[in-house]
Amino acid sequence: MFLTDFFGRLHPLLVHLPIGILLFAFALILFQRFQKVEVEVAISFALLLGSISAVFASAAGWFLAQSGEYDADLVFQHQWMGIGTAIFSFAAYFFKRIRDILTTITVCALMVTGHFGGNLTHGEDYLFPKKKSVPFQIMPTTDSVQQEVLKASPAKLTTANLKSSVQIQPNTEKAQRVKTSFIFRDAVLPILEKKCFSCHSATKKKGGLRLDTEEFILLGGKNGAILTAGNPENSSIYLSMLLPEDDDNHMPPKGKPQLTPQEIAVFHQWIKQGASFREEMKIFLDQQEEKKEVIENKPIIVSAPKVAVSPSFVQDVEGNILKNKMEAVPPSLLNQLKQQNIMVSNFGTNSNYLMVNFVNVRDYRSSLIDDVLKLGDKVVRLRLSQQPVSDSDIKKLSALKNITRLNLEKTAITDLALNDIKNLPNLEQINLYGTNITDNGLMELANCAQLKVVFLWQTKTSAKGIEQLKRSLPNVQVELGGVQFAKPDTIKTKNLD
Amino acid sequence: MNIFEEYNHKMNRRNFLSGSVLGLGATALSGLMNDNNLISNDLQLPHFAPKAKRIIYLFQSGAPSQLDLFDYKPKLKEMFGQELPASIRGEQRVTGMTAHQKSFPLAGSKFNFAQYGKGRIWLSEILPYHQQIADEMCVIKSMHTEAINHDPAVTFLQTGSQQGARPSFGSWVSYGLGSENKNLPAFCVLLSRSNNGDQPLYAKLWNNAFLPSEHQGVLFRSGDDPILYLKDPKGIDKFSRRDMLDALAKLHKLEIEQTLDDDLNGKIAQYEMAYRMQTSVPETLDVSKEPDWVFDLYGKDARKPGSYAANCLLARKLIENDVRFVQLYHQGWDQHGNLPSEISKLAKDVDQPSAALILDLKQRGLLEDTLVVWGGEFGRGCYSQGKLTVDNYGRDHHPRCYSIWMAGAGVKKGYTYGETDDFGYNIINNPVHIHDYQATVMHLMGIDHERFTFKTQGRRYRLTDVAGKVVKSVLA
Repeated sequence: MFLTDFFGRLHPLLVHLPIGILLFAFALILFQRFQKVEVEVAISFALLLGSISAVFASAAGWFLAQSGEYDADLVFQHQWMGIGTAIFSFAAYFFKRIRDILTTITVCALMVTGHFGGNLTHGEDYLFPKKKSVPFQIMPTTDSVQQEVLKASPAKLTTANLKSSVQIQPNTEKAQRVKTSFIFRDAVLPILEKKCFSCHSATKKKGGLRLDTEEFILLGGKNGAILTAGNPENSSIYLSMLLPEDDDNHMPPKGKPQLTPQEIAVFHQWIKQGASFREEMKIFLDQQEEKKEVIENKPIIVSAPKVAVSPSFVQDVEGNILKNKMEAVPPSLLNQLKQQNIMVSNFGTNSNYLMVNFVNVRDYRSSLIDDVLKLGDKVVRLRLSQQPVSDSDIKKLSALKNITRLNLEKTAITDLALNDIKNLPNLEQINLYGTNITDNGLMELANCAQLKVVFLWQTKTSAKGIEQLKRSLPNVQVELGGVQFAKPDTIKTKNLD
Repeated sequence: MNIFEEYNHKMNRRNFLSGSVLGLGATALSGLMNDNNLISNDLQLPHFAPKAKRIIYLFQSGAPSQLDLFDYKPKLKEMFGQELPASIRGEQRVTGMTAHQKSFPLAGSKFNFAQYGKGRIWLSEILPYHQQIADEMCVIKSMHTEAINHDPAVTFLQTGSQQGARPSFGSWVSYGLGSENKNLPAFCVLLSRSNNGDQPLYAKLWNNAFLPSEHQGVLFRSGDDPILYLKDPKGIDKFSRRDMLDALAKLHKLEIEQTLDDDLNGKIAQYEMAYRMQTSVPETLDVSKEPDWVFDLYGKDARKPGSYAANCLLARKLIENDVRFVQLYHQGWDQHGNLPSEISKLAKDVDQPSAALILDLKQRGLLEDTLVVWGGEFGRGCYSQGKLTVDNYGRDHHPRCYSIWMAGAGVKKGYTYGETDDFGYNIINNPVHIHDYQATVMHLMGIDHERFTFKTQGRRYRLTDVAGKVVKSVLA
């Protein structure tokens, strides 16, 4: 029935009439008593008007309750308190002798009714918010770290949080370890609580829909199921969020706190992955991020001039070497090197490959190189910077087949040292800055097929030699240094000096 | 500990000490000092192949305005003087310094912006020298933090906790990876400032907290005496100094036996380090032999000890000597008022030396395994603090978004990550929390931040507390 429905919806409007008028009647009674003035006629009129409006309000309320969208228990309390208010106000009008008492009772009943009504509309914890207990069984998580996150910030179970606690690990050994999470409990439920419960839970079930327990969510509302596991595009709960805010079916309704795009994304992901209420699910937020970036990058690549891709280190050659098995270095040898201040460090817990650094060596002698040679193929990086190494010392290094980076800057070597450099098949970087290397030495480097970067600042090489090297190794990057600032492109850098 | 356990414990230690082949001195010198040999490292670090072996952290204290340096927002100019829309501000708290303001007028940057390098990096006109390192820069525009005031924010960034009493970033790295150069501290600190009376910095920022005390940052002062009391007094020669330290170590060992106080081991290590630094520090910090062009590169301030430029030069020298973590602080970016003129001054002090440092590291081949970070503790707001005029405005603290840049080992070159909205107020894409950022830098050093912990007071602590996610998109 349209008319009764319409009348029912006037209830929120009508309730304010008895509230205002009856309170005013009560105020007049107090006024009369304490100011000793005669306003009996006005009191009678106010009570009559209040009583009649109370009856209308009650009637409208009764029709509204028929919609079935409200919690029956709460409606029962509110309804009878409301009817009681109307009865007492009439009584106050008719029994003038005990009018004071009856009006007081009426006002009390009025307040209680109003409170119950408020609970119906805004939810029971609107006035005194209390912490809601999660109505779902919390299962033990496998990941203690994640639990710590949850414990540390129960109030902030946002997607951002989820992102930080749930991630694909940057773990080289177990490359694809994907972490999982209780997506419903940790991500979906908090959103429902915040943005949906006020209309779709125990106290108020708009459209016959409750979203506060698993059973009700699966049950759906008046218009049937709201969820198709695995198919967000077929789930009205998701679709209603996507509708334009002006659309009648858009949820949450216009004027209520709206879902953020991230929150909608959570729903999409949850439904897409089967909309499970209890299972842990994989989160792929990271991958989405990667994809986005590729797209973002595109215009940059298109507009930029063709630039040689600068080599990324640690991958490629060195990365491949590090993947191979290698037996551990004997402790006695390590100890021997340590005694001579040769710094040896490894490439990680499970790697027996080594970086060797002479930074602490104060009394360099050729025999130290012989000691390093004992490490053999384990040496991947060697730093001899500023040491008085001789050409023959460097020639000996060709036994260290796995060297990828060799630092010889500010040493006394000459071109002769590089005669056998081609015997280092994996050499990716060589630092020769501050040495006496000339173009002849550079020619030797042309035989290092893997070479990617050469540092040649403050050497005796020439542009011609470098050009020749680049002809043999087109991808090699030569760092010539000697940087000076070009006059900066100042647009308007005034008043600075 | 009951009395029997305690007795056992002491006996073991005594047995260990007396049984050691080389006796007390050797234990003091080798085992307890900064142990450089990572292979015998109990921590099993690094966890995986590191891309960066060293870090220079150019901390811009006071919070530089990202809106006037890196994060170009034409919308703010367009809407100059209009109110910041309530929908953008949301329920964001602001500091007491602007909370009373009835109006939040949008203040577009007074400065011009342009894009540079193959990555089209946005730079403000007050950073002209940065243009020339644009191809090395990896700018993160979506940093965000939880703290709204300087001290908690700096502390949060440096220690992973706003309250402090946690080890500094550099201390963690020193503890985890040790020092390559055993004659210099693994964690060195350099201070500079543009104005007097800026936000103060405290030694707690480079403190070791519960980590062994030899991992605390060593502050290098400007002037003749970079480290106080390092020089031997007149009349004391090197030999008597050595004897004195040996005797002191013996006394400390006796004390350790009695009190079981492990901190004393740290003390012995520090005395030994100080002894070695007596020669290494003057050598390393001596800039008198640097050629003139170096001073041209870093700017004329580089000749002025204690300036940011001079500190950048020192940072390069320390890194050249394989120091693990060099922490610079430059104070003075806290521009609540008169921002345009103040920030120009700061930018001028910092622009050239920062760029010079990158280029200098690059030509020496050091940028291949050194990571340089440039940034402050939070950002600044898009609305004016105080009166907004055509060419003057101020900006209050803004933790919701800010920009930093990194360059060097393991990060993408000429790359921008993250995005803020048209008002430069909220992050709309790829947020990077302080813990994410810390996790990323740790990752570059070959450390899995979740596995790198220290147990004290009954729980395990880590720099990233219980959060942090490596931002893989910025990795090269």
